[in-house]
Amino acid sequence: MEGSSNLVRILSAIAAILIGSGGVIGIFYGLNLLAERLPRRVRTQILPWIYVGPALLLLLVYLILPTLRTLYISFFGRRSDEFVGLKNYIFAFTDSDMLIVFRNNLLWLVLVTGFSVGLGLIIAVLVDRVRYEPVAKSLIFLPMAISFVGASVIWRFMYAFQPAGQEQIGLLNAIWVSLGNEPVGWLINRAINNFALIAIMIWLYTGFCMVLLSSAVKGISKDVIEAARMDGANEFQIFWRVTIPMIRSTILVVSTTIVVLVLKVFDIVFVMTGGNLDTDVIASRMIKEMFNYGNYGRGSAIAVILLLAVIPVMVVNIRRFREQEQSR
Amino acid sequence: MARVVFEQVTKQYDNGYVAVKDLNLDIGDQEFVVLVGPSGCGKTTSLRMLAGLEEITSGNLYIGDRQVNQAPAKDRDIAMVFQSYALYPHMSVFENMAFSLELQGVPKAEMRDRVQSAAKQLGIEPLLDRKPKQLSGGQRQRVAVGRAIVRNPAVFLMDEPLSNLDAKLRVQARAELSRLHQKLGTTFIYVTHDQAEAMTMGSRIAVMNQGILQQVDTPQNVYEHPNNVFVAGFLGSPSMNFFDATLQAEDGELKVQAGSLTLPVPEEMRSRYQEYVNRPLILGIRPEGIYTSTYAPSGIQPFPIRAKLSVVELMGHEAIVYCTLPDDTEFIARLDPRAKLTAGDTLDLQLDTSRFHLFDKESEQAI
Amino acid sequence: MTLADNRRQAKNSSAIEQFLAKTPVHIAVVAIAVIWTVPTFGLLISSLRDQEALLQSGWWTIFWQPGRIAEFDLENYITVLTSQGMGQAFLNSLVISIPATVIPIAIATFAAYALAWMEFPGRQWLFVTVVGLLVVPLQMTLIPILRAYTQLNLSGTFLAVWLAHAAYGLPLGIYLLRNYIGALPRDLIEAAEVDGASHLKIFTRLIVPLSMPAIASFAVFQFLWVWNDLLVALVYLGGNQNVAPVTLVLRNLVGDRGQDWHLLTAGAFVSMIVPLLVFFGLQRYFVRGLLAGSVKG
Ligand SMILES: Nc1ncnc2c1ncn2[C@@H]1O[C@H](COP(=O)(O)OP(=O)(O)OP(=O)(O)O)[C@@H](O)[C@H]1O
Ligand SMILES: [Mg+2]
Repeated sequence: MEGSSNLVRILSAIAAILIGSGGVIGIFYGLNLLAERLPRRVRTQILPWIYVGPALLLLLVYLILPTLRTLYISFFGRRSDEFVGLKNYIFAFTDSDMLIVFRNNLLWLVLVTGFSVGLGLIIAVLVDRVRYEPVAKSLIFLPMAISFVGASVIWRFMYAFQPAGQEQIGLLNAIWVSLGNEPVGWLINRAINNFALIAIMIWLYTGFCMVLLSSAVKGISKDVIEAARMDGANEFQIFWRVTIPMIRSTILVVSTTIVVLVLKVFDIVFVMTGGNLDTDVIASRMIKEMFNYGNYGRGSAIAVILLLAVIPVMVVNIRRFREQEQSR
Repeated sequence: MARVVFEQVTKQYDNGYVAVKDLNLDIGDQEFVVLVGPSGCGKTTSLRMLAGLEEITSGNLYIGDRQVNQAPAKDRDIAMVFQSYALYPHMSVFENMAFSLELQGVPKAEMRDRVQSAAKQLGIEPLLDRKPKQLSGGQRQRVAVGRAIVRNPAVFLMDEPLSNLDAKLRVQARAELSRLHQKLGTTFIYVTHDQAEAMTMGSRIAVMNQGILQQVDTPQNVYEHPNNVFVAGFLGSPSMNFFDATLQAEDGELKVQAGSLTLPVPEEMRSRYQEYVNRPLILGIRPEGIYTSTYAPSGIQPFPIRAKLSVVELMGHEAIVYCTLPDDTEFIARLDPRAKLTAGDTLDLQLDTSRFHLFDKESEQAI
Repeated sequence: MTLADNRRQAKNSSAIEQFLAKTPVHIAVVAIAVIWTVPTFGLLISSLRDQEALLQSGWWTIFWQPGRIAEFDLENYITVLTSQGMGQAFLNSLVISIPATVIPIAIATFAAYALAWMEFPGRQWLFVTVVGLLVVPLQMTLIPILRAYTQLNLSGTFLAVWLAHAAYGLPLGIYLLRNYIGALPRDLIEAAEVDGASHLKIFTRLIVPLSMPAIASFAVFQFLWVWNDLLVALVYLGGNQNVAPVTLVLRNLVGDRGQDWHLLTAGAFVSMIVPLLVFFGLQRYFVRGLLAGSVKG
């Protein structure tokens, strides 16, 4: 009995996958068949739109219009029925909880970006000199494949806390206690819980920075390094005076990527602490306004603030892209 | 089999640049026409317009009796060999050659036969299962030609198909292509900037410069009777020597006066040149129209000059010599290397006065 | 001793010297690699221990008593998979992730081809928009889309998350693929045109096979992103447990059974197994996707 219901489940899963994946390809073939029937002149005009059409539609419906809509309802009350002007924004920038949220986000930004890029760079340079480089890189990079939720569970276990006197099953407290200290409630203590969460993000993204920076470091021609060595530079001088300036643009790209990621981070906080005990960040606070408090106006205003924070990155991206196009 | 006609064809790119201007060219069925000219003169653009890869801005284009201004590439019954060969990297040689037949819906068996016979003609049968990456440059070139001939098109277009080969292979491939043309009897239009290819392969060559067609004729005629200074200078290597000159009439005789050079005009030319007397002209003499006294052949009309040799390049079968006249005019001569040629020496040379060219200085047209 | 021996010895000693000179480097690299691996490793060990043992002693103690490795079993896994809904969630994750990867690949590849090789008005402008959309936080879109879904009764369906994930992945997909497809040699496409291929034929016979590396990169990236996603599932699937993916079930486990480490550790591993396989099998493509997509947030 149970066997057959499992079978049904698996079969319906396969059916769903086939319908979902096949559907989109079917749509393109159908549209193309239609286009082939049109007279040639019309066809050459219409065909490009058939190709970009679905993409355009999805982008419009799921990204562009909702973004505008969110902007609009951020000026309305909790159920979007009364216009409140800038009230939601005033709340966002003055409420004492929100100020903690901004403080936390700033901490996240500075620490995650600083540590993951810095460590990533150091590891990238070090790992370049050992023969087991691929293995070491894989191990450090591995957390990238893990979901925020999975990582949260991993680290909840690392941070596990038992009252003094009991056996510690969390590795950090076990080490800490064996050094003769009292066990620490890493996630409970307001002085350190934010740092405990930030450490998870660093653990996740250092590998990412390392991989990108490592490919940039490898791109530096050996001749330049050797020339510097001939000029009498030692390894540290080479690192500071040659390596870093030469991969500056990659460092910049990696840093902005991390900044954007950190701004949007939500899962870690949501799973680890639920944003309690002063650990909320912008993105998790937005979800809280939306689901827990049902205040769509405030939720939207917070989302808009998030968007404003990434706009500089967007502008830089577009400008860089334009330059690339021109030099093509 | 088809005739190809360009009628006042002009191409202006989106940025406003006019790459081809008022091109008129009538290419007969089975002809092998070579488009030649310096880099950027519009050869590729002309070919691509014919192929349907580039829209024409104005004018008319005919393949056979059909006007093809608007026809898409696939309906023009042409095949094209690209400079980069453009072999599909993920397909085997066989699949590359069969691709167009497959798209036409040719039955499998016939497709195989046609690919096989084309491969046999080009000697690439053993390569049919390989991927382009596993081929040498010469083999790739042959596959590219093979891909064109399986289709049995009305016109073959080739854009510098040999320029990626080394010098030796190029000579060999040149002969092979000429043979192929004779065998297939299809119209060939061939773009190159290599004069050796232009001179040896084409039944006619069309010389272009800055988007404008300069001259169309058999290679020999273009070489011997260039229309203007550009054509005269472009064909031939080293290129023709040019001097500022005037025509002077003296005692019923015509003389070309260029600095310290004075060349008598042969009798048969006098009437033709009469009207240019005292007008500014350009005198052109090819480097091979100059000889050392010892090795001058018979049958020339020698005119002696004395020149200082500034640089001597011995090439084995010939010597390229940079010379200076007493009035500091410089010119290049192609001499017999057996003569004792030493840079710095002054030597007696002979000009063949039966083979000079005169151009109007203002219009640069031949007179 | 022969000369060759001498030389060999000299070489050996210099190799050792070199190794020693690099000792600090080796120590640093090994230490970092170990620190980065230990958390995951501890979770793996713990997921194999039984409930009581887990709460009584740290996972590392089994190294002091290697005999206890014999006590390892898969019971925790069986429990989460059957009684905690992880089995169904695993299937749901597959049902969500595979179409949510295939759909944007198809749509993005077609769009990328048109943007790279077809002439139409507004083409450049469209691509600039895509570049801009790369970093738009998806939080900006949650409320309006959720409302629309609720009205259309789409909330809690697979279609809802497929389309949402497809749309959120599109900017990166189009960006990555358009750059790759745009860099293919023009000659190839024109050769196919002269050979008589229509746009669709050029697309299926030439563009798709030649773009496989880029498509694979995007596929790996998008698949991992969707599989690991919590936010989209949380918002658009609501409380519908029948369609919940592993991430959602795992997070509920954390909330409801926070101290049941035997369930959490096994559950976390169930959620991680597919990404880890993909990671080890297709790391090359993943890295390439990251390199190309490092502008995406
Ligand atoms: N798409 C384009 N837009 C604007 N100008 C172009 C374009 N393609 C070519 N041109 C210009 O048109 C002129 C002719 O180009 P074309 O490719 O026909 O030269 P070509 O004779 O084939 O030269 P080459 O021997 O170097 O191949 C060049 O000056 C070139 O810069
Ligand atoms: Mg060209």
